[in-house]
Amino acid sequence: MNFRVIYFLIDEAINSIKQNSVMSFLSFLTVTISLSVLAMFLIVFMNLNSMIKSIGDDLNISVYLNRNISEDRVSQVRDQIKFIRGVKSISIIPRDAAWADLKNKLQYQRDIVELIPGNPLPDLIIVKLKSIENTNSVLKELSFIKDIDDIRYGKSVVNKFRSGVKLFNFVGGVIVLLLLSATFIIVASTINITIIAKEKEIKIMKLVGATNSFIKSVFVLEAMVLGLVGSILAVVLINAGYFIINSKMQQVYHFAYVFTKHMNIISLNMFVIVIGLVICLSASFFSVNSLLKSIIKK
Amino acid sequence: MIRLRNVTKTYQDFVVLNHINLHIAKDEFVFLVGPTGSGKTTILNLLTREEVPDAGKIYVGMTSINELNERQVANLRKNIGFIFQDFKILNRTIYENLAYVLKIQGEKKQIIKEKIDRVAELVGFESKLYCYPHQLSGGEQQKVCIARAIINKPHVLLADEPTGNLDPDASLEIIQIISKINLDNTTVIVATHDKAIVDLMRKRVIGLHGGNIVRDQQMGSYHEF
Ligand SMILES: Nc1ncnc2c1ncn2[C@@H]1O[C@H](COP(=O)(O)OP(=O)(O)O)[C@@H](O)[C@H]1O
Ligand SMILES: [Mg+2]
Repeated sequence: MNFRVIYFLIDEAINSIKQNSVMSFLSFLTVTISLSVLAMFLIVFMNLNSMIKSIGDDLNISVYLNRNISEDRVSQVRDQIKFIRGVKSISIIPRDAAWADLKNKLQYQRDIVELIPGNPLPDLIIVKLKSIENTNSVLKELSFIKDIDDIRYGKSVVNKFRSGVKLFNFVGGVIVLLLLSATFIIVASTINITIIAKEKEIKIMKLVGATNSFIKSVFVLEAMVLGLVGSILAVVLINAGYFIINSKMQQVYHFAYVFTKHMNIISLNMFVIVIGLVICLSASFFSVNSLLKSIIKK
Repeated sequence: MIRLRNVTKTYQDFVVLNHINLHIAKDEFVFLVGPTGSGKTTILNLLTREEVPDAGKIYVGMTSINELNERQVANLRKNIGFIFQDFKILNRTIYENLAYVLKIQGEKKQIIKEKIDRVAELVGFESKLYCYPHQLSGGEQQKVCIARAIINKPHVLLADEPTGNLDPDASLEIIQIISKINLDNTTVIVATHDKAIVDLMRKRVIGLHGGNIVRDQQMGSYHEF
């Protein structure tokens, strides 16, 4: 096969897309829509997940120790916590320092403070986690350690956020899957229609000595053009939308930088194009193999 | 050039060809005649490997075409020109219809032009090259198909009822063109039930009936006398 044949095949594919304009338009539309939605979902997905990560960075577990334990025991517990998997770092606020600090803050309520005998505060260990995902396992490990009086963390907020993200991922995944299947079906039917419309061409190609794989490549190429144009349209749409939203957001919210910080828009674009091509290629293989078999044999 | 040895072809239980033996020499001109359903088209389809026989051997040129892979089948077809009763012309200009064949083979623009000019002159429709099929008469459309079939100078030309859809004048013209191609060193097989052209040409006539070759006459006519 030389370059002139390849040029011929591409020319034929473009002509047949023009001739079969309604179905081709539908194909472009579904490829573009489903890939745009996929990309939108991916953008939000990546940002949500990076947000979870950054919340995880800030998430502390406060561990209050029993008040009547020795200093040696306190440093033992501290060491135990330090070596739990998923713990990034710990810092300790000794009860004496905390009490002095509090007394200092409450200096205008000195009369009340004077009423309290001794130091009512416990030692506090603040545990920083590597990631929010580790919360449960770290909590479990902490529950095995003696001399811990109380554990506090932003339980409900974290859990709500996490299950919200999970739901989003699930719903988004289902929507994207449905859209991609619709794309597959519409591209496959477009190719089916082309094959039926080109029965004469197929017959002629056969009689002048075109191999079956050559005949198949005519239709696979058409699907590739559909996929490529559709996904390039999607990429243009995504980037335009992304740019507009991003610049609007930054005028209003300063924290909008989150939306660009963890994104690699170029690899997202590549990914969208590759997915578009893969879907269209597999759709065309599907129709070519099922339909062409009967026509080639006839 | 073409040889069928004990060839049998059945569809389901129906025997179309029953142990057929046939030899056609190089550059011969042969009519295949017989009633509808007697297997004329089937013989042509066997020669292009559109169909495979249930039994027997088929030779085209020196090679047995019974066992060919996909690529070899494609090569076989490059050396055989085929003309149908229904013309099978694409809805493009005549020039594009002819170029289509050559573009598939990756031919250069210049060579495409040369080859099209040659067949257009041979078949006689130089003035119609940039017309669309619907602007042509049936006879002219069939000329286009002949031109397309011979554009690569095949050794064998097969025609299945080439005059089936044409009026007598056009039929005559078509058969004269085919005869001219035959004189230009091409083996020709024409399946037909057009009595007029068979009787006019006085070529070898092979009669099929009930799955058998019932006659084989040099300088024959449509009916046996
Ligand atoms: N693909 C097929 N499947 C079943 N029967 C077929 C097929 N092709 C041809 N036949 C049968 O074989 C017989 C011979 O057909 P054909 O060679 O086309 O005859 P002719 O060209 O002489 O009219 C006919 O009875 C036809 O119905
Ligand atoms: Mg027939």
